[in-house]
Amino acid sequence: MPEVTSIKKSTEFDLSKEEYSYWGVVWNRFRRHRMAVFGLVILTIIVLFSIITPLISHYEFDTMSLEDRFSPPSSQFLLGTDELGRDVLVRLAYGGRVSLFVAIVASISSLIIGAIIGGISGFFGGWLDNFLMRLVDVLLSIPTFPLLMILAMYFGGSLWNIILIFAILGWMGESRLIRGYFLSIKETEFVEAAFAIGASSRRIIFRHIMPNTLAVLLVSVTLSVGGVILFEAALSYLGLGIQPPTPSWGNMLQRSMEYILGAPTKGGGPPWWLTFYPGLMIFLTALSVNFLGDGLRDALDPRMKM
Amino acid sequence: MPEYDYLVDVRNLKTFFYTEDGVVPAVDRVSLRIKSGETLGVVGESGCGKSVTSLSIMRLIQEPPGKILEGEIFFKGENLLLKPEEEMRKIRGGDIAMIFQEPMTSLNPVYTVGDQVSEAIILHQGLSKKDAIDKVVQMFKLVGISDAERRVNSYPHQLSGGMRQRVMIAMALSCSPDLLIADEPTTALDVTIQAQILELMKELKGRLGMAIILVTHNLGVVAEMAQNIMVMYAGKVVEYASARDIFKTPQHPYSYGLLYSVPRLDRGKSKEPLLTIEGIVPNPYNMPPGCRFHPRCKFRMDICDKEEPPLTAIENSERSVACWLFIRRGKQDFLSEGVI
Amino acid sequence: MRDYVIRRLIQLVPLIIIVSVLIYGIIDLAPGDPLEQLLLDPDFTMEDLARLEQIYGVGGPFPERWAKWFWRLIRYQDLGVARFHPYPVWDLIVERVPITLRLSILAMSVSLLVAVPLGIFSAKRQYSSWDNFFTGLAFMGRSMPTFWFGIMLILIFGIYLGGTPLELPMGNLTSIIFTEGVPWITLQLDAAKHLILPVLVLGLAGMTGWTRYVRSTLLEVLRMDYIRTARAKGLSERVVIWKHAIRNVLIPLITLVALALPGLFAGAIITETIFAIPGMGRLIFSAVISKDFSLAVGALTFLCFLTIASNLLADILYAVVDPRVRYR
Repeated sequence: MPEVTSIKKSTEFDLSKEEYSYWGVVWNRFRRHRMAVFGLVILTIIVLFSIITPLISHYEFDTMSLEDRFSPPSSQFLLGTDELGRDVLVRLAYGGRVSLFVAIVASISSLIIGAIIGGISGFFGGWLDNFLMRLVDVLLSIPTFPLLMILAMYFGGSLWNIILIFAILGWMGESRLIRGYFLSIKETEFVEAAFAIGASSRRIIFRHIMPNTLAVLLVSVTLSVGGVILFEAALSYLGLGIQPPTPSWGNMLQRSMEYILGAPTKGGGPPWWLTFYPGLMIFLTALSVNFLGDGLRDALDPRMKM
Repeated sequence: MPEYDYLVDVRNLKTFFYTEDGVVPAVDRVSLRIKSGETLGVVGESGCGKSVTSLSIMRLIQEPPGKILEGEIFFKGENLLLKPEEEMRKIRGGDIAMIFQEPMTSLNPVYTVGDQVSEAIILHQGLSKKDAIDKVVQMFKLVGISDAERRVNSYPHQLSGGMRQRVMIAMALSCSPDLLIADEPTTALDVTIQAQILELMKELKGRLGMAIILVTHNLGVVAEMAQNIMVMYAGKVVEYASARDIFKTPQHPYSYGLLYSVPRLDRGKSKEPLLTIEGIVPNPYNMPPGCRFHPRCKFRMDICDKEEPPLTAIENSERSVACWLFIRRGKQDFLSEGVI
Repeated sequence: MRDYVIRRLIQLVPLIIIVSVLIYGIIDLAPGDPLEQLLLDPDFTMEDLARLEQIYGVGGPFPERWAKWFWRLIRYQDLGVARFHPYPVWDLIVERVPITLRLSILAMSVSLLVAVPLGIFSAKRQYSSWDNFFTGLAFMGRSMPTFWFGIMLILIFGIYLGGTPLELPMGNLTSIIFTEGVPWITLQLDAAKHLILPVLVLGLAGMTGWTRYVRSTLLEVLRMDYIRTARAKGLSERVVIWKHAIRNVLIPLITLVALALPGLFAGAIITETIFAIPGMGRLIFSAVISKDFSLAVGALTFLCFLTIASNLLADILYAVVDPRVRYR
């Protein structure tokens, strides 16, 4: 019913309510979003697990024990051991540190690139905008994953190379988003008013426009962390990501593939735990980040709420 | 077929919306009556519940979030709220038809207008596709669409706003309804087109003789067409009277404000300043206690924010008003005596 | 309509040129000299080398090298020679494309067959427990590492269910146990069985994504004024959804599906690697793993053109199905 929804909230009878600060409203909405809270809890557990486990475990990620190769999960090795008798649980925690670090740093880096390019494009407009957005079009018509593979092949899969590759291939969508926001915010009256009283461009960008894009940026960076985790794992799975002996969830999975179809395990059967747990970690992390991002979007931008 | 005095007789209709942010009493105990062939104007600011009232009569309220809580809607003596959905569908588009505010978006962009109009004819009159299209052409001619034979094959985006509203009118009238609900039929149109559409509606009413509920915020529109006028504010009826009475002697301060906030040529001393209604429409989630209009009312009294004024009839007339001032004054005409 | 297509085609020219410059930049970035290895061939003479250097513009400035490369590409479909296969890159790609294309189209069809009914079902019961359940599933699908999903399927259907009627082949396109004289239908069934798991893995993303898409678009469409008009006409809910709403949902979906083709080719890299299917994806994977630069970049070039072509296809399809574009 358009008539009902279009009514502006009057403040006349409502000032006493505590939820009138912006972040208060956001938090209230977020709290009510069951999946988002679930995502936040799971993600917190994963992060804590990655940080704490190596500190309290008897094993290092490269502690080998050849007589314990391919041990199934037991009280000694909670999640079993791999082909060199290394403890899977501890390696998962280390792998988590690596995977999360790569995903977060790469997402923030590409966000910064995207914000700068999108901001320039949207703020200055004209030929510069045209040029940058055509560039984005072109980059978007190159399939990302094969390009990632080729760049990883060129540069090799060290930690920082992988981060770099993700940063330079991940900013296009975000720059479009930011540009759109700059364009729409530029038109609003308070920015026009700032221009009218002669505020400098820099002041307008940092004081007036940037704070308003913060919400979008937060959602975008959250969702992109999930994407990078999956892409990095896929690269590692193909043997192109982070290289062993540094464990990452993806390369643990890749190693396990050699043994899954028939390695001599203690107790017989395939060493499923080598494949199952790293994949589960990737899945749970991506899932919780997606839930979180979705909840944040709903909480930060009520207009998108259905 | 039961006997009936009124074609439409709505009693104490209550339609609320249940949203995440709270409950909106969009229509709160609204009653209205229309005789066959009459026109009722429903007037008020946007958000006052006039559209929700008309959608409730059609039973087109989306549930959830909306819900018709109580009341009765008698149409030809039968309570529509008790009818099963299938029977209601026969009434929609057949006995009761509706025209909406936005001709731009009220037609499906991916079907031709001929197809969309003929749908109702096929459904309610059981004509074949071909005969239905012939009827559409007839209807298009009736509503003044030139080149009707070709226009039936047009898509909505190929027509102007005025043309589309003519299509909507043709669609609504194609099954000769007894009641036409026109929800702001001219609001989205250019002023010149507005006049044409109103003229068309008046002419068609004369020819076809259906009753009309004309929902609008524009007093000029109802002045020309309606016999009776119902003024709504924040989900409530504040005044119900004949058009003549309300234009001559508005009783509720809100009606008065509405009337005198519009420039009029027929008012003698035009040096008088236009009136404004101070303040804004109340927050629908948090209606003011007592009379919902009291925060904006110039004649506010002690009782106004404590108790809700009942809709009270003037003796020996069809006229009723919901205002304490009116009740205190012994239900006498007061505003016209130059109190303001 | 014809003008529209022609205009879109003309707009493509600068895009193709800029994309090709970028790709050539990537080729140029490759470590090592692509011609060097040819010298390992004893029949290859220094004259041959000089001739090839002339053809490829070795040593010239970037624009000249690019122009020569681009000309050879569009005139002779010359993408160079693969490093470890004695074949032209173009021929290798053309040989593999049909396999991946078939896999992609199957995955696409299965995704659509699941997504459209499921999306409509969810939208009609918004916020019901079924809707919440499918929403949860969609999130899981979006967060699922496809390779892990594939491996788990292999583990379940190939190993744990091995020997039972539910056993499914773990890879390849056909079984090799067949000799001559096997009826056609048996061969087809065998091939179909081999395709079940790969199609499921490749189609997973489309399935979940498009279900969400159909659901949210239908919900949006159902709030449109013209749906209210249709209801006000007295049409039944079935006609309102299946006539008035569905076409407005499917029109944008068609373009989305056309745009998905390059993504499926990229996804096939993983799927074909897991299931040992000799298509484009596996070709790219083996090229990258063996550091065969010309083959890898050649495949990338092909995928870029595929992307551009499917963009064009999407625009044209949109124009065909949407009267607002068709009659402009």
